[in-house]
Amino acid sequence: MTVQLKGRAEAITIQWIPKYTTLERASHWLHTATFVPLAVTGMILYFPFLQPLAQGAAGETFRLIHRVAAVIFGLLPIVYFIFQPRRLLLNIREFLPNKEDIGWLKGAPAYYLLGKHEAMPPQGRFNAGEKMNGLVMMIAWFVFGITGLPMWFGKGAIPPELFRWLVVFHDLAMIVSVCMFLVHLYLAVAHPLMWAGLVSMRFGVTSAEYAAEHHAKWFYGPKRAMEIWEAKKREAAQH
Amino acid sequence: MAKILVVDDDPDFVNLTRRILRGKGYEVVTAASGQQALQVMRKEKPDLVLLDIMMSYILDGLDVSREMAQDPELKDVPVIMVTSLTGARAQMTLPSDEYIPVDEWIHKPIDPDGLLARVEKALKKT
Repeated sequence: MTVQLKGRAEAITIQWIPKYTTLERASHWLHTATFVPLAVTGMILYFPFLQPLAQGAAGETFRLIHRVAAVIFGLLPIVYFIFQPRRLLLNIREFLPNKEDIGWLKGAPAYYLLGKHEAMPPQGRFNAGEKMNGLVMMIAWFVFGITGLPMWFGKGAIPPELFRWLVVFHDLAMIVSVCMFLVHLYLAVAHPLMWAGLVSMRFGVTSAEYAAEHHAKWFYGPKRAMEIWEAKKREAAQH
Repeated sequence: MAKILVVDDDPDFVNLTRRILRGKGYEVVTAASGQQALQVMRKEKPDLVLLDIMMSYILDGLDVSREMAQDPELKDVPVIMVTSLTGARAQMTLPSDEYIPVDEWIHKPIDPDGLLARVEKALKKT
């Protein structure tokens, strides 16, 4: 996209699109840095075959790591809300599913496995997969909080039956979020089409070319993005 | 005094700009998206538009300036792009189909004196 200044031979070509604020990037990486030890220590405490590791002094250390990481993990979204409430609400609104996400689900196998770009309808600032990841992590954060805090501070004070249910929901949230994290990690680090996602989470910006190709609805707006996609599909059908 | 339309989806930026411009006696009207900006312009034609690029979508502001250029009523209204998008400056060689002429290009965060100087310069051209 080129913009020329009137009456001058000077032109500006847009190269970089801001995608994440510094606080968002710091929160993301700190969340990753706390999620990993939380998941590892959580699994040591959860899986029966790892139970020997959870005994004695080592077990106490794992519990301590789990709790310290949990405090940071729990506080980060609250800090984000305090400093950038408008951005947080904007992101939550963008994570909410809508009927257009069905198009992503239908197109995902051909797009991600076969590299057929025309199979994927235009996506917004977050594609439906990123939205799913964001939503799962948000729900998991909430479930970890409302189950983890009573498990930590309420042991012996809350009824055993309720305690068991808290453990079940805490473990379910762990299983779902770890699965989501592994998919997210693969797509961000290893998938050839998605590498720029990692770059934008590192530097806060994404290239105009990548945004136009992978987030066309965010780049061109819904109407023009659909026109471009329809043209791309017609072209692919002819070949 | 000249009427300036400030178009931006960031209410903090709109409030700050409004205060700077009103301090110099300009009349300020505002809009929060490209679509809203065109509605306001067609209702009460401004003398100058301060236009953010990235609003509802990334090229929202550029689509507004493109539409203004095609509208006989609005094509002479000067446009100052105010944006956080970063780009490479180069000498124009071949205009592409995406070629959009604008009067000025200012990066955020803005410097109040710099903004007022650009506004005065753009208004003098009309």
